[in-house]
Amino acid sequence: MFFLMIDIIGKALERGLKLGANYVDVRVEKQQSELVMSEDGKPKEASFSIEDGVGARALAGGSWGFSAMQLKEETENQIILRAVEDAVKLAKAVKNSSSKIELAEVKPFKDVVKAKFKIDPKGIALEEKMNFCTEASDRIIKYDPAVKKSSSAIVSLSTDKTFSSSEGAVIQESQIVVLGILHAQAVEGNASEYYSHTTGGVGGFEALKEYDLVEHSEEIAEKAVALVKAPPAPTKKLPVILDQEFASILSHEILGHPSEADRIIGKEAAWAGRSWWNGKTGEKMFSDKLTVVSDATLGGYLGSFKYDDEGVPAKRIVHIDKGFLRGFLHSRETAKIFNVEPNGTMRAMSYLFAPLIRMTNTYVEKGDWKFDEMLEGIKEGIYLKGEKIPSIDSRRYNFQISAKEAYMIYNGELSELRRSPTLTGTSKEFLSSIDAIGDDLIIFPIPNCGKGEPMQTMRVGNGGPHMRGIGMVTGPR
Amino acid sequence: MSNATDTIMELAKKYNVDQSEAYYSKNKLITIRMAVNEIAEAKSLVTEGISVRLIVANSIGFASSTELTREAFKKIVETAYHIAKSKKPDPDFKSLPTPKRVEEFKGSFDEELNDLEVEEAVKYGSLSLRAGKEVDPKIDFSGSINVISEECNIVNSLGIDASDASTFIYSSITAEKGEEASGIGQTCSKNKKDFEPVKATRDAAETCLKSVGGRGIKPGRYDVIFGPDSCAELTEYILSYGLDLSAVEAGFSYFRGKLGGEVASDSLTLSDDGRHPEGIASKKVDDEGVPTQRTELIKNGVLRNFLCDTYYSNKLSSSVREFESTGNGFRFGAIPGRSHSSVPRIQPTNFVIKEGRDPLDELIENTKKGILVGRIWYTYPINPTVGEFSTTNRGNTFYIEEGAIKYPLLPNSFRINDSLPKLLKRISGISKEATQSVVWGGISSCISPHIKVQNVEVTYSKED
Repeated sequence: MFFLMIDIIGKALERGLKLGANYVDVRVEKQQSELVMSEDGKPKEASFSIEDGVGARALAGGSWGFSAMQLKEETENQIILRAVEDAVKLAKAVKNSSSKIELAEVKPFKDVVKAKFKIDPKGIALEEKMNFCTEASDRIIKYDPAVKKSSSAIVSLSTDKTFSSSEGAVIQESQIVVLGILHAQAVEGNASEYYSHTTGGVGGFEALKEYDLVEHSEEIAEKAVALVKAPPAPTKKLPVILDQEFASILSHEILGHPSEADRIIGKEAAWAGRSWWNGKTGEKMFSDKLTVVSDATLGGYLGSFKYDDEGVPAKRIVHIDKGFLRGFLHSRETAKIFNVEPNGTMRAMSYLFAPLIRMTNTYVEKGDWKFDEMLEGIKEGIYLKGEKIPSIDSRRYNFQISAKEAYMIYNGELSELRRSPTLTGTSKEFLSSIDAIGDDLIIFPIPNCGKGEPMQTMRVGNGGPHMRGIGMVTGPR
Repeated sequence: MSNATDTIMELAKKYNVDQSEAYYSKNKLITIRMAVNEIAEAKSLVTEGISVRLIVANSIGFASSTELTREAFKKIVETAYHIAKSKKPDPDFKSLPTPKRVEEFKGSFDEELNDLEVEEAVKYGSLSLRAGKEVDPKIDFSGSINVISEECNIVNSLGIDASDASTFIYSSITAEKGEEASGIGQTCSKNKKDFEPVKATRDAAETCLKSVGGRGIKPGRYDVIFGPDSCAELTEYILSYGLDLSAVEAGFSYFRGKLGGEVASDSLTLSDDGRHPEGIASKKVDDEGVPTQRTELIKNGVLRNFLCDTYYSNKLSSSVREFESTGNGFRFGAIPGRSHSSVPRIQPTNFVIKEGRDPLDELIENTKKGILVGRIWYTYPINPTVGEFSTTNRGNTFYIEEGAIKYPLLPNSFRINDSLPKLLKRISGISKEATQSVVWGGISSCISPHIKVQNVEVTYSKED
């Protein structure tokens, strides 16, 4: 079946070149997804979906064309051919006057990459998954009268993708993703607070054996209840310690996004925005404690894979090295412009979309500080834990990120819990103030990074260790 | 595609189910994406698929597929049945919707737009870029044109059998002059003949030129006049959340317990109008087969209703308050438009904010120290349950002093942090002309005038 498909795709690629394209690639994908969700101790939703389609991309006359359609078994060869023909037609219709897109050269790989997992989520009965979720959401809702809503969900996704290009690349890569989600909503008087946790990544159901949703459910409820009863966070410029989860959203929003080369050259100018890192390569940007990398070769995280959607192998990329700006995330197109090697970061949400430059597993490298050492010497400070919601400007310079919870620090010791804290500042000022990086790196799953037009939501990994700096903290209004 | 839904319903009869529903959707999307004065790419896609909901003793099973063969239909019916049988009942599920009279709604589908060739869409892009360069060759233009055509067919065992088709085209253009000035223009239409491809670019160029020479601003409290684009961001990302009945039920909505109460200045009247003649999200029926309607959500500042689908209106109806689906049960997937791949969830259509009496100039004249905000960006709730939000100015923003615009403000130079429920009560003026806007990644539209709000918190963030 695989070889038949390769033959069909090969003929379509040839047809694309004959029609005048300089380059053509095709992704044929079969995706199966399952969602099981429970609310308030009752089953809410279980759904199963099959998506089967082809996305073809053609470069002709210096412009891109992209066409996607669904596969129908009896006419697969015609559909793949039509997608390629349409992509070439679209590229030729563009006829840009000046800039002509060119691609950096890459070795055309031939490879078969099997999904790595220990426990196939398909092997776990739906009843069992629903029982996990129902038990977990039941424990949350029954934890305390202040808990007004609970939910628990398990998402599993399996993708079989065949990538082939007119340069001879043929890569079949399969992947399984499993995510577990817990959520608690507490209300007391006018205060309303939620606490949630997402776990899992690339791999099988073993992720939910390691982090048992039922076992952890009451912790989530306890957090929500404590928060809704807690006094508000202060509004004050303070020494702050960020935990690994807060570091994950920081690394995503103000370190990962500005490192995307398509933002640098303005390709996202109207939508996701530009980057204030433009023209600053080699400059000292931040504290010399700070090193930031993207690495898709790490196994098991949500931004892990072997080849991107241009057939380029995944790499470890250094963005910030001891405070200095070193490198960006590149496609073959931007690599040609910057005269560097493509680094395997072009990914599409599914066959329906053209690939974009995406973060992989983007994180702050660990340092050598222990958490207790970071606390020492802080007379009055705040410990921000967990990531809630970010708002960043279109050049990724100024930011506001809310944390799930905060603990005051007095005289080097953690003190009382405070609710609804936010950290506001500019990337330059805050990241320059970092004076301690922990030795306790964690990478978290971020399942919904939005970019592109039409918008694609991508799965990435982000993280960091504990970090200490000085920042403007704001409490609720 | 009633053959597919009929086949699903036939296959469902072989199982011992209480209720069944088949849903088919087909979407076509053309995207012309422009980046820095060039068409960066032309994209087209076609997606169609089918899904089934089966109910067995109050337990709902759902399955979907993009394969439209009898074999695939058999598989999803069997899977949905298995799911329904495997689950414990959901006591909050009462019923799928029953048929209601569906008034015809003309004008939501345009044959010409449905048949638009990609070459013509590319031509719109070229015209659009050329028009911008004619205004000022030194401005950089980026943006996109999207052409969307959707169709669906819904059949359920209680007698619903509805089909709908709709089209729209919209263009959004950002104009930038270096890092100091930025403008935006949008244009949209439900049919080809009313679409003006060059309007968005000209508006973007004009607002960009007005923004040249921008400065920073001191932190503090200002009277802010939000333009239609920024009202759309606030409505889509912050307000819609409070007006969603499922969010009320979950304890997320800052409007919980406020039905019938004053939640805004008496000058504010807001509705969701699924049948607005120009609204790009207008449709005849929602994705449960319930007719769309105009739903008054806030009238003269008083909270009148929430956006409902069938599940939540049944769940929350009581002897104290009866809820009825407002025709807002939609299924949206990865691409804009209806999607077979998800169960219905509560979604807005076209938000419409009633125009006021004052011309915009008068709102400005009556402002002592304020800001006219055209486009805001990354408007996200800091804490959605209380409606606190944060956003930055992305362009087309001006400082007002003593009743006159004094100078433009630099893009990304300040942040607005406030609480939407509090902000609604501080509305002090609404202009008399409304414009339709669509936000990035948005699935609804917002038709809004300029809205003036007193005493809004602004924090400083200009690059040092």
